[in-house]
Amino acid sequence: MMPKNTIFTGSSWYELFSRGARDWLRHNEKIREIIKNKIPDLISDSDLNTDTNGRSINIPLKKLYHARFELNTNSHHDNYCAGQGICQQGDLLIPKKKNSDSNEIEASNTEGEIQFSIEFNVSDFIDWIWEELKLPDLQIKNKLNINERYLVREGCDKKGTPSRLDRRRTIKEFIKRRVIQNKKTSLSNNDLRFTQNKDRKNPITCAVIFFVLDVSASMSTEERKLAKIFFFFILHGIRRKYLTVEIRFIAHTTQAWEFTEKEFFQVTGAGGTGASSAFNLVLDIIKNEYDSTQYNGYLFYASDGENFTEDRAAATASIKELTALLNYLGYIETVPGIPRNTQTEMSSICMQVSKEECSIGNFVLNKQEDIWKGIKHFFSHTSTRDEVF
Amino acid sequence: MKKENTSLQEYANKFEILAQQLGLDYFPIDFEVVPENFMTEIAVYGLPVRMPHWSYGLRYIHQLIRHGMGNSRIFEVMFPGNPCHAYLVDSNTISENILVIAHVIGHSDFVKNNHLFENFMKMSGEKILKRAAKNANNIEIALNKFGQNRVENILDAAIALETHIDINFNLDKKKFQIFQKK
Repeated sequence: MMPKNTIFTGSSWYELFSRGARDWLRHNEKIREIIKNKIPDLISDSDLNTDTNGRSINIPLKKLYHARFELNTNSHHDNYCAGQGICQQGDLLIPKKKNSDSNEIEASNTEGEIQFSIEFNVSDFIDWIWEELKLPDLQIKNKLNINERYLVREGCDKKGTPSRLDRRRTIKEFIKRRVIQNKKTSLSNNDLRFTQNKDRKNPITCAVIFFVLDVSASMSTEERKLAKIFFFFILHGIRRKYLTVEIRFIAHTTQAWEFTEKEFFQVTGAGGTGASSAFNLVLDIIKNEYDSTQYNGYLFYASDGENFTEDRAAATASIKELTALLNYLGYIETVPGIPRNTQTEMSSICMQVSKEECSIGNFVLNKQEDIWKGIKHFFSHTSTRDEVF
Repeated sequence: MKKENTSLQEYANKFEILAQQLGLDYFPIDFEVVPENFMTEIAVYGLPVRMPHWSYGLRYIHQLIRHGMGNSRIFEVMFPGNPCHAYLVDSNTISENILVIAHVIGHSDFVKNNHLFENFMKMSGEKILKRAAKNANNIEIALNKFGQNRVENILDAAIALETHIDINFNLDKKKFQIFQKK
C-alpha cells in the first residue's frame, strides 16, 4: 500500500504563539538581574562621581551561554577526573575548597578568557530603578510666586526681529503668492514670517531635601560606603524625576557642617556623635531659607545608630521640631554584617518620636543588596511607612 | 489560500507516484502549513512544543533579526517519526513549498532506512512529538509549582549534559541508586 502524505492548514491559533518572545524577555530579565547585582560593587565610594551625565561604566558580562563542561586547563585545580580516569559512575565531582588566596585563583581563571562587556550608562540605570518611585507625600504648595515662567515658540507673525525669521514659512508664503499671481514676482516684505515667543506659566512643586550623614569615628569605611551609595542613588533619581528640587548636604560629628555635593561624597571625619547638631543646622537652614508653606521638606539621615546619651533629649526635641516642618523624615541605619538585635540609640529616638504620629520611616542597611530594598521602602508608596514601627 | 492547499495536495500526490517509481521506501508524512512566526519558533526550539528556556529566547531574537534583515529564511522543518511531520510556511510561494515537499519525501526515506533512526524510534516509540509535548507540559507544571529559578537551575544543568549523550547507549537508562529509593 502506498504511504499517504497529507497536508493540513495551520490552525489560526498558531498566530498566538509567542514562546520565543517570552523566553527572550526572560533572558533580558536575567541580564538585568546580573547588572543590578553588579552596580553597587562598581560604584564604590572612590568612584562616586557627582556628575552622571554621559558617564558610563563597563560591566564585564559573559554572554549568557549554556553551562557546559570544559577541559581542565587550569593547573591550580587538583587532579580530579572523569571519563577514562579513576572515577566510577555515580561519583560526585565537587572541586575541593582552596586554602590559598582566592584572588590569585580568580586571576588565573580569567586568564585568556574573552569577556563580553556591556557599556552601560549610569543615568539609564537610574532611570530604570526610578521608573516607579516617587517622593513620599509630595504636596503642591503653590499659591504665590512659585509659577515657573518659561518661553515657548508659538505661532507666527508678519512682524518680528530678524533673528526670528522663519525662512521655511516665508518661502512657503512666497510660493503661495506666486502661484496665485501667476507671474514672475520676487520676495517681498509681505511674505516675511517671524516666529513668536509666548510666555507660559507652570505651577511647580518646590521641594528641598536634606542629606544628613554621620561621619563620626564610629562610622567605619564600610558603613559610610553603604550610606553614600544610598544617597548617590536617591540624589540622581530625584534629580531625574523632579526638576525643581533643592538638595542640601550636611555631615556631622559633634558639630555639623554643610558641604557641597562633591565634598559630601568624599567627606570623612573623626570624633564623637551628636546628632542634634546636624538637626539644629537643618532647622536653621529651613527657618532662614525655606518657608515650609512653600516647600516640601525631606530629610534623610544616615547613621550607624550611635549617639551620645547626653545628646538624647536635644536630638529628640530637634527631631520633633523638624517633623513638624518636614513632609517626611527617613532614617537609614547602616549596620554592615550581621543584623543586631539590640536597638540603637538613634532608632529608639525615632521610635519614640514616631509614636506621636509623625512621618518618620526607618530602614536598616546591612549589606549593599539592601540598598535597593531601602530605596523602594522610602520611595515606592507613602502608605507603607506607617507600618514601619 | 484554500485553492493553494488543494494544489499542494495535488503536487504531493504526484510526487508520491514519482517516489514509488524511483523505489523510495518512506514513512507517510503529515505536512502542515503554518504562519511564519510559528515556523521561526519551531526552528529555534527544535520541536513544535518544547519547554520554555531563556536560551531559546536568545536564539529566537537572533533568528528574528536575521530574518528581518533578509538574511535568513526558513523553508522546511521536518521531524522523523511514523508518520513524519513537516512544516511549510504559508507565506512562501507555491513552487518553494513544492520543492520542500519533494525534499522531505527524501528525508523520510532516509529516516526509515537509517539504522540510528530505526534504533531510536524503537526505543522512544514513534510518537516523538507527542512525547515531547507532554514533557514540555510537565515542565510548565513544575514551573508553576516550584518557581522559575529552581526549575531553571535544573534545566541549565540538564542542557549542559545535552551534548554528552552517548548515542550508542539505550535511551531509557536505569536510574542512579540515589534516585531509586522511592
